[in-house]
Amino acid sequence: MLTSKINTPMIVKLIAKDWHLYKKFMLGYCALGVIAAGIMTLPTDFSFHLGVVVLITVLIGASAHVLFASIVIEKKESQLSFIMGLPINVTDYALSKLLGGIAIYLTCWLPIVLVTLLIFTFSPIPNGLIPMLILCALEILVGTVLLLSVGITSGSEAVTIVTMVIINLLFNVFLFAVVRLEGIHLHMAAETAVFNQTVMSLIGAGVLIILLIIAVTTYIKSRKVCFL
Amino acid sequence: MNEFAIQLHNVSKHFNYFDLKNIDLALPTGQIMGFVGANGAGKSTTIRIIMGLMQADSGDVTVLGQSQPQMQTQIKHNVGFSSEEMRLYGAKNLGWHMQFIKSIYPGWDDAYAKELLQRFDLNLEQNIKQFSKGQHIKAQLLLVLARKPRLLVLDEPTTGLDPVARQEVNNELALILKDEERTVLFSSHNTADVEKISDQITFIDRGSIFDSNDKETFLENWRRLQLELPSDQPLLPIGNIVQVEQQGRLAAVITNKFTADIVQAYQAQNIKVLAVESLSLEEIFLANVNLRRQGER
Repeated sequence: MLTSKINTPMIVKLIAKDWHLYKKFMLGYCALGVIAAGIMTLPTDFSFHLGVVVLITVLIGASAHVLFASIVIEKKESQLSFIMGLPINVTDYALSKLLGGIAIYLTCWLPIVLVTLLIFTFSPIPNGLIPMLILCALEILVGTVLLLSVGITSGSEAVTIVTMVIINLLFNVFLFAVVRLEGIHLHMAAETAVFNQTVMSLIGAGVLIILLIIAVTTYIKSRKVCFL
Repeated sequence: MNEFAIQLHNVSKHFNYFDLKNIDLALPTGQIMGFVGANGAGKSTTIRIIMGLMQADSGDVTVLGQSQPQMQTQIKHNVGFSSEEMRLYGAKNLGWHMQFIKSIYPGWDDAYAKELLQRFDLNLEQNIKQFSKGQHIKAQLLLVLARKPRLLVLDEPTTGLDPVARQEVNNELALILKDEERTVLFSSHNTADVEKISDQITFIDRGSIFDSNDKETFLENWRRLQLELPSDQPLLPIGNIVQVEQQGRLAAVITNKFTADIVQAYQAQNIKVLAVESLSLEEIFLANVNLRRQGER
């Protein structure tokens, strides 16, 4: 039961508050991501693989940071009690954490992905890898949204950590599965990026999953009348 | 304006190991109510229900004329809430918190905030994590007071403070609350804190409110009589005597409804009334809790 209408100005204020709290970290991750993308362009296989590992680590690290700082630690350190006293309801809080978490994460995800795409385009790295790069980054973004949702709906540190471990394991499964798809691996070494039906379907599925997670989380939290 | 800022009628909440039972509470507008109970008595649960943070299993809750928790967002625009467990963001300074709260509450009073800043001796630029517990509580109070709420709900604001910091906070709070017409619900297990500030006192124990009255009535009604008996035979309680302690021919009795008739009744039994003493709120609370718990047995 949605007891009162969504308080959009308060949601915006709460998101701005979180941005003020975590912007330095996000800018730090952003810089690290760009450095990782730079390492990938160095003319050895080792540097390329190192760059990939660092890039993925930075994207996953930023995701965990947003989740833990804005949801888990806020609850653990009783700052949530301070927020609960403000003129908001459970849905306002959930939306601020979910949409705000995504927006804050995108402030490092988006520049890192764009810079990496640019580096791929203007370096000897085959452009055929670009769809794979986008799919990997999108999978990490989907994982982040799912983690934020689990953190918000469960309110449990343990459940959130276990979910994070599972999602990270699934990322490896995702990599293996996607690379085995014909529509992907046949074009990875190509000079130009190929956005065929397989790639577009996977991108579409990722976006749909994100929208679905947002809708389900909002629905679940809107049925809760009180914070406690 | 509503006659009552807070009204709870027959409110109950069940937990696995604790029940809040049939709470009836009415706080008239403009009054300061001390909500007193031991740890785990149900003060914080009641306050969470009042604030709309927790839903009661049954009963009605009205705050500033609106139903909780359905109207929690609207209600919280006019309520300043601070609790012992509440923490501000350690990495940010008080100035940042003040800007954040000011952006939410249009009633924020800059001049008053500045005055409180000086009165509480707080540094605007200092990060919250560098504050002592007393400073942290003062910062919280500043944030709720400067928004000029119609109702102030303070859940154990001085718990965990050292005696010096507690006295400091209490003195400031007493001054501030006397400044203006405010409705305040102030919970504490420390009766001395409550006695200093409150007009009304409500006692809660084991999930039930068992006594509620204005402070003067409590202090008038509850008295200790020092008696000298004609013999060391056990003194039998009369009328409204709720506690008897006897050592030989000397006895101390406590009444919860003192009148001159009690003195006359003892004198008629050839018992000498050596003194009639007022009780502190702590003594009243303890005697009241004991009386209630004896009644439960």
